[in-house]
Amino acid sequence: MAKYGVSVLKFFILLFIFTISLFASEQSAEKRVYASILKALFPEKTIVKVWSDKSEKGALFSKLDGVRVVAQKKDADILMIFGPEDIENCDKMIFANGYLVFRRSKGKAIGGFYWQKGRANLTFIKKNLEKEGIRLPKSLEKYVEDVE
Amino acid sequence: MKKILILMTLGKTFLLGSENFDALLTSYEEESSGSKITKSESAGFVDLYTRKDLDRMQARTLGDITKLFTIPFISRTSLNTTLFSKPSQNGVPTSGVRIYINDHDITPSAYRSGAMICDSITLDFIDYVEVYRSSASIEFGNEPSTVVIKLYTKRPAKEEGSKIRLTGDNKGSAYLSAYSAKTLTGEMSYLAYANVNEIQRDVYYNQGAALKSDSSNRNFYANLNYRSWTFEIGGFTSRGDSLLGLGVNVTPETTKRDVNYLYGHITKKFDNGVRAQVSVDSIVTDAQMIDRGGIITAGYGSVESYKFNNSENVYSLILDKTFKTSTNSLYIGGFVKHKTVAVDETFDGASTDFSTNYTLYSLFLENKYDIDTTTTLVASLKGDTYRYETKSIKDTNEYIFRLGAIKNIDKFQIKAFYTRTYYTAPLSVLYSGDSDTLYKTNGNLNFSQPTLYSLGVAYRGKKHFFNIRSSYIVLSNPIKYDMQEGFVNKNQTNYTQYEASYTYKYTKDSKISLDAYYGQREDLEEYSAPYGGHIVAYNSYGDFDLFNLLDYRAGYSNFGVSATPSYDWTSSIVYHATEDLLFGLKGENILDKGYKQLYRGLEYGINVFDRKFWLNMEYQF
Repeated sequence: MAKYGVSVLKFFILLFIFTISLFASEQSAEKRVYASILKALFPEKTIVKVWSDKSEKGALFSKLDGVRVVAQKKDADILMIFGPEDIENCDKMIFANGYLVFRRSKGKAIGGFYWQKGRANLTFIKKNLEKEGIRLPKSLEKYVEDVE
Repeated sequence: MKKILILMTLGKTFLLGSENFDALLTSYEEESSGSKITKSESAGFVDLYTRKDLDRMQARTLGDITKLFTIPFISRTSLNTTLFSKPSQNGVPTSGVRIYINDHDITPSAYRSGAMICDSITLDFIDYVEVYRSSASIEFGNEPSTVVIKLYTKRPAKEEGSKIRLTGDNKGSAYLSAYSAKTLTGEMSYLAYANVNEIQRDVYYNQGAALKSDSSNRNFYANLNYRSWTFEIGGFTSRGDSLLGLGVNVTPETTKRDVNYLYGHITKKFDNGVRAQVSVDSIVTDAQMIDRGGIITAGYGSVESYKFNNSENVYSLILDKTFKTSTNSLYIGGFVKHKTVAVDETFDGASTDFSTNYTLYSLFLENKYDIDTTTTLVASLKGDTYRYETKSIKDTNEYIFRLGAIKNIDKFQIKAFYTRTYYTAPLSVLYSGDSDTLYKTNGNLNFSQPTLYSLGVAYRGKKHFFNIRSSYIVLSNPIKYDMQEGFVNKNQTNYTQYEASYTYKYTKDSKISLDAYYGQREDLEEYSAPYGGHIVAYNSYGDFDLFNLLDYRAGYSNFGVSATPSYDWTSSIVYHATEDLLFGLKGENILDKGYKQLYRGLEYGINVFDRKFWLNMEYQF
């Protein structure tokens, strides 16, 4: 009987922790967007190393579960580009943030998250996904486009 | 235990990872609204109209939004300009309502001849609208008013595109607008907007004379943002008929009015947090009124023809800065405004003219202190000095003082404000040159000083929202016109207003709101609807957006005429043919039982909103 009592107690403690952790993870939509993108691009990695050219966005990435912000591009799994960063000779995976950056880096970027026509857009570039050998989860397939 | 915890973590990841990404993008769009930054709970009772709201109601002009207002509600003056009226009251003083595009006051007229024409302010380039009431307006760093309407323009970084809109109604009105907004480099962006509209309105007749209010309007706005600089230009022209005109028997032959408004505004934000704004406004108004029944004037007796030309310029310099700590926010600033006015008037054959100017100096501070995470105290003080060029007008020193408290208790929010403010008396009541002209002016008038005691309670749940707001207002030195004495200060009056609203958001895109309001004068007289209410529903089904509004206002009597209770039903349906192309149909005052404004000398009321049906097309590229 006492054994069952301990199990029931454990169950409620775990349920409590689970519920609390769900609420604690109630993040801003922007964080959830980036968490989903990184999870989709690196499904196997427990820690994704991110480099960003914008310091305040670096702070945002550092708060994501399973993400570590690195200071050097060479240490990164992906470069999150927000500004006029030179990416011409870069051999790292690139993700464009902002409409101008996306347009400029279509040849190299794996995708982009940007505003256009008053709407938030997410686009993954098919040919660059294929180059990297990435297959996105079904929930994000509709955002894959043949961008020239 | 460890295994279970790992499984739970995976479960959590699965739950969050599997959320609908379109819904997540929509949440991100809502989260990114500029109102999250600009909306100020401490500035008064605030209502927000999002771009999504404006799109679903197919709003063309500010007039379309004001239909949703409770106190004050919208009506129109005998000269077809916008009349903000409180329940039971004749109207709010014109300087009691100020309209801003971003940080520029587009109601800066010293003479009030430009008048407020909400239907001339189109909204296609506007991202969202904030309406503040029971406000001291200090934190907007400008001239005083108790109602502040802030229109925020679309942000180029979010638009990155262009849009064209074409709409027309069953009476022959046409409306065309276009804008483009883009970032040119990471540091430079622009928004450019233009609108042309021809509005046909119902014609009424009185003793054989036509009472017309058609108008032809042009709007434009542009901004260029470069680093910490913003350059803005904007304006509108409005040509049209002025409904009743000025004739004592309301038998107008001509009521032409032509308003041209133009402004430029430069804002610079310095690294040390100081913001500097320089702006110039130009308002030119021409009007011609002919009425064979006679126009009664103070200086020329009864005339048949009256012509009016007024040219105004307003030059402004505003400096402000906010000092912030984790618990305190101190906003300080000051401004200088120089206003020049030149007036030409012709009464039948006799002409008269004058010009004058004044300078307004203002210093203000506002401190917001968070006692704890749920309680904020606000204290504001503003001192204004008016220095008139002419000695016929007495120089005036005025002040605004405000104390407020905001308490958040879980999902409830309580706001209480004490506000002592004033309404600037327009030059049109203070001065008319060396002699009386249309009116008998009075340079010794005191400005009216409202003192507001306001209390509001709000509940914001996930699906249910409600608001209860009330204000008790003591108005000292109200300015009235007396045919013998001219403009005079009258005795202090009291006014009480109440309103309540409830919103049920039953899906992410659908909500229904109900509100009711009531206003009572001290003398219990009712010069406009004493109470009213709205039922508003926003719905989205697949590619269709629906908007329905029922605006009810009680009946009232004035000038010996009665207006029956009004029911104005507005309905809009939008079909999104593609992501970038939409078609819409909108009916306004569909039942033709909308609110009627009563006027002196007219034996019936006139619709504020005509019964109309609009077809609409919008394309983004």
